Amino acid sequence: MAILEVKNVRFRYDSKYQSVEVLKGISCAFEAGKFYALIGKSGSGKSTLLSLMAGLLLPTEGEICFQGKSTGSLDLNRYRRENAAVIYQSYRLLPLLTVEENITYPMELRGKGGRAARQRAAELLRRVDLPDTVRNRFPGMLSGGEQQRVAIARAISMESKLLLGDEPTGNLDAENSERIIDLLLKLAHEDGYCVIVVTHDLEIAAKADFVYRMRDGLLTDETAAH
Amino acid sequence: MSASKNGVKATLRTPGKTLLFTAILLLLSILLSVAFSVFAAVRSYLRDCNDYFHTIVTLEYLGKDYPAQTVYDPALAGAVRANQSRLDALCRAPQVLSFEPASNGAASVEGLHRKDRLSYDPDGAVLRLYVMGLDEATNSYSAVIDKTYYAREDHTGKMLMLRTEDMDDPDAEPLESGTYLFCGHFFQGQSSYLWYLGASMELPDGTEVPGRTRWNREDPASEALYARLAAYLDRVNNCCPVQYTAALEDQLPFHQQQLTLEQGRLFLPEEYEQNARVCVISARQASLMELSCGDTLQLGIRQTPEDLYGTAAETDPVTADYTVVGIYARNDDYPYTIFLPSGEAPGSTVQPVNGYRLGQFRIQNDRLSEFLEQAEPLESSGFRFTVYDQGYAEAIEPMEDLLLISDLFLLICIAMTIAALCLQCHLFITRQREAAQTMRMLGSGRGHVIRYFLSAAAVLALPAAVLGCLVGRRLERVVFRLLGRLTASHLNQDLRFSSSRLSLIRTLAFAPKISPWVYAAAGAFLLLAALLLTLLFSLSALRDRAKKRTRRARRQTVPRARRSSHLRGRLKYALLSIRRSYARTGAVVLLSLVIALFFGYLTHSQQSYENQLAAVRESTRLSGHASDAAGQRLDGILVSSREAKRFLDSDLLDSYNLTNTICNIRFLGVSQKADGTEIPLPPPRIPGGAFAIETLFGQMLYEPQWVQTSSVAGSPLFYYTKPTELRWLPGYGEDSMAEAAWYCVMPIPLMEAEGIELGDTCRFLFATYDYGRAVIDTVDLRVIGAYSAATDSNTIFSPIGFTHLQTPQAFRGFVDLQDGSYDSMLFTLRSTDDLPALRAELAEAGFNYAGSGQRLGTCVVIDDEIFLNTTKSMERQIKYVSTLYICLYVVAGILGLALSWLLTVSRKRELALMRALGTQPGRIAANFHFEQTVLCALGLLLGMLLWRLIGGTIHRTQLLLTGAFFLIWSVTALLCVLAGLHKQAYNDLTEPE
Repeated sequence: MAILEVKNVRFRYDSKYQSVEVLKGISCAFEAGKFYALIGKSGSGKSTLLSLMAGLLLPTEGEICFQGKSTGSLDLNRYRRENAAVIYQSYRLLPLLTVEENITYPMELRGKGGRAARQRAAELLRRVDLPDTVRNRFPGMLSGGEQQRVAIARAISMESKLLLGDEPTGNLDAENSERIIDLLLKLAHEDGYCVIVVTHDLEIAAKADFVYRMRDGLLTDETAAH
Repeated sequence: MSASKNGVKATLRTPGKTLLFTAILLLLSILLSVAFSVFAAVRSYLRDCNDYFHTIVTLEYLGKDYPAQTVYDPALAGAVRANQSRLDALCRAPQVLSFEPASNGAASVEGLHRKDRLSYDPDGAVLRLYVMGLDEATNSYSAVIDKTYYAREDHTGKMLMLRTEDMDDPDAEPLESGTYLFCGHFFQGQSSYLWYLGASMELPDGTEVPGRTRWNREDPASEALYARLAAYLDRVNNCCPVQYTAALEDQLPFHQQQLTLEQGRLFLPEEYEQNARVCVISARQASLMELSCGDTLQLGIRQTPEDLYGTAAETDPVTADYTVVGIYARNDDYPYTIFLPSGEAPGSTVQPVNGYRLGQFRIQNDRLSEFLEQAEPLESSGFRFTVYDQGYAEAIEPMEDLLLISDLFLLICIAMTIAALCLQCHLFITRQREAAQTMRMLGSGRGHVIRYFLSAAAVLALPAAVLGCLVGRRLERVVFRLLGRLTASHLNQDLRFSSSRLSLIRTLAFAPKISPWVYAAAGAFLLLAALLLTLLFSLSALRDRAKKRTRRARRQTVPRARRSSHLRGRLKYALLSIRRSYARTGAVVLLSLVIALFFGYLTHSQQSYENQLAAVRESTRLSGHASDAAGQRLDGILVSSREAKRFLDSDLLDSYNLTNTICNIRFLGVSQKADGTEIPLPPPRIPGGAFAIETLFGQMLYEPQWVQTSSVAGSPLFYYTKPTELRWLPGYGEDSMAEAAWYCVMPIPLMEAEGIELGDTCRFLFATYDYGRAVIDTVDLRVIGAYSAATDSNTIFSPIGFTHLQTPQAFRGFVDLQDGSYDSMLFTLRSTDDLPALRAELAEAGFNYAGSGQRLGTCVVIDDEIFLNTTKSMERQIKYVSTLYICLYVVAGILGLALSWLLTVSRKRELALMRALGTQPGRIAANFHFEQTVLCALGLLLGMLLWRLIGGTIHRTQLLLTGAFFLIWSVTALLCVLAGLHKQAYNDLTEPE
């Protein structure tokens, strides 16, 4: 059963001087426990679609339904807090918080702070293959791969079933990139997350359970990888 | 060329921004034009004031006979010699433009015979009389004037009465029928007869001329002596004071417009340079000698640093013909003064003179206070400096404020222009950095890219600058009218009766002529600033950003936490941010701390000025006096009691002192000793016969003056020189002078000569008129005090209140007289707060303002110049501080807004990420707002603590101001955060780092 459904979604950027239709009627569905890849050329609308699914934007037309409920009818702050975790290409960690605090931050937002949150953070760090020594470091002191793994740990800490990645390996070298993708695959297949990754990397797409191809704001192809 | 074209196109393709910035630049250009013109206008007005107003300071010596103008006081010569080096140094002081000594010169004028009473010895006369015989009944001789050798009026052929009592030596041999030579003083009495007061006189070489001698045709030597005396009197009485000057318009009477030209002109520059034989004379002299401009008169000028009317009168004059070029209007104070041009500096040294005016300094208007500071030590040696600035201080006072405001306004306009241009450059250039880099990558040179940006800037700035200048020029009249009103505001200040208006004789309207180049300069400034900043921003945009980032990254140290914080709660993020973001925390805390310190300083300054002002108001005892038309404090002012009473009865005064000269009185003897012993005295010797009254009055002219006063030390005798000694009978004092009692205070020399002791009761003979009827009587006065003065005074003081006693009929005249007028009036104001009420009361009572040119009625001067200057200066400081509060609030508000906005903008990704993570907007706002307000509060508290530690006092105003600032900051920070939250998080998250 689909956890997230995109129903004939259109999206238009309106500026003072120009209006650009980025998505021109897209429909697709995503299930829990699967790893999805959204691929396409630059400007095809992948990141916009991801932002719509993350609740950062609302469609101009059509709707995006999470567990059957349209995001337009949901409290988007709550939706983002509880249901949609995003991993960005440039990590987007809070610079003034330590690694541990960055991971516990979403938990605190959900009212789960204190020792339990810290224990969970330590657990998540282990899970993303980070040593305990990084716990009290600031993001600025970590490498790109480490920061991205912290971002994943933070995403997992949100306990949302939807994990969205906007080119999560775009700034990483091949080795780190592979480790991150493996981690995301594990999260999808072992923990039942619905992982949707926007990428240019065909190797990642090859590992995905399902690949959506986009072109000029339209889904041109949907392929089951396996 | 293509670069410029592209730049212009790029600008025109963003019409919204272009219009907005053109409008902003236009507004700034107008403001700049106005600011430049105001700046130029104020300076131009100050320059005009400097040329228009001339400040002079007169130098006088407060000698015993001050302010007499014909006496030679050796004490003055001594004081000048003793302080010669200091006086000379003062003449050469850098603030002094010139020093013109009072010319100690007098000119004998061919054909002038003065008849006024301002000459050296107006009543002196030398006559040949034919004595007809003694009338025993009247004890007087009758005589006919046979020849007038010298007298103010020619009395030849008139009858003259000579009383034996009036002779020099009453015991001398009686006169026989025959011809006599007489010298002395002759008066026109109540009757048509002349009467005589004999006096031997002295010639300048010391030869004594007896009061009378038998005329003998065979003895020409005797007659020659009297003829010499007559020639001397003729010379000294008919000479005119001569004043050499290098700038006639700056001579005190002309400077103060006491003298104005009725005919002709002032001296020309070449007449000064060539020491031309030209002169400016009085209308009185011109009329007497039937002279007009262009006529010539012969002057025989004598000059001396010594006694002009003594030995100098005997020296040979330098005689020459002078052409009259100007005639000044009649003025009783300057009846015959002759002004002559002198190209050479008349002397840069102070010399002894006749009279007490030593000269005058012309001072640089704006350096008067420095000069007075230098002159101050000389005041203790008896020198007096009086400032006449024609109203310069009054005129520039509002200008000084305006100058500060115009400077500030100009600075603010320049700062705003630069800020607006920076913002424009930021939006047009920094935002187009990538375009610039791309142009470079495509092979465009740096010059090409810079031209691209410069063209874009010029499209915006040029029309704005040109239009702004034109509009500014059009606004000139409105702006200057407004400034004119401001500058004239001092004229609305109530200076009635104020001593500060004494030299206020002219005003200068604010009507500067501003060159169009001033406006062009404003436009050029805007255009150049726009181009220069564009150039700087372009160069910055063209720099290799990657290298810069690497360098910055190397410099940066990443903070390292020992362990994660266990803080909890909704504001955890704010607290962590405060702890970990040193730069941000430091910036806000430092700014708030500085502002708190500045508030402390400002409130302290304001409080201090307010305290000082209150202390000055509290401690100042303002006094005033009846004066002559020029504002001088003198004796012999006619103060109508009807005018005075209403004023003196008002409850505005703390104390007052009145004097009233009753008449001359003759000491008859001590009628009762201090121990109560009565001493019988013979009845007074009253002349009898037909001319008895005249004789008595004539005799009594040389007897002591009887003066009623409410304070001996405050009487006109001691206006300029304090009593050398003043002692009182135990139990009595100045307060006793207000009592209604038969007391007197006598001069010590008279007491010593007559063997009078304090406590004795003396009997005096007095003679006065009661409505035309002569009253002659005696009065007993108890001596309660004794004084000695620097001058040879023989005034006997009695309490002002004694005529309120049950007086004998004989005193009715005094009481009436006292009800009629006083001779002098001094008063002290109860409180400085009552000053406006006092002015109103004086005006209501019908007094005149001194220096107003009105010669009728009594003038009153309130000596409030120093007080007004002091309080005005303090009030101005308080006003500045209050203005600074507003400026500080504006600056702090702008800084706070800018800082808050920068803090928010610099953290926009952080803010967006928090939103992306689902943090409630309220929680984000609370954290960001809390952080900024806490930092601000911390800074303000630390500032106040520091202020307290360095010894400052925390005033309530400071707390209020600080609290208000905190509130403004808090609101500003909240607005910035809310504005930041309003933005789409998606945009910030997707923007590249």
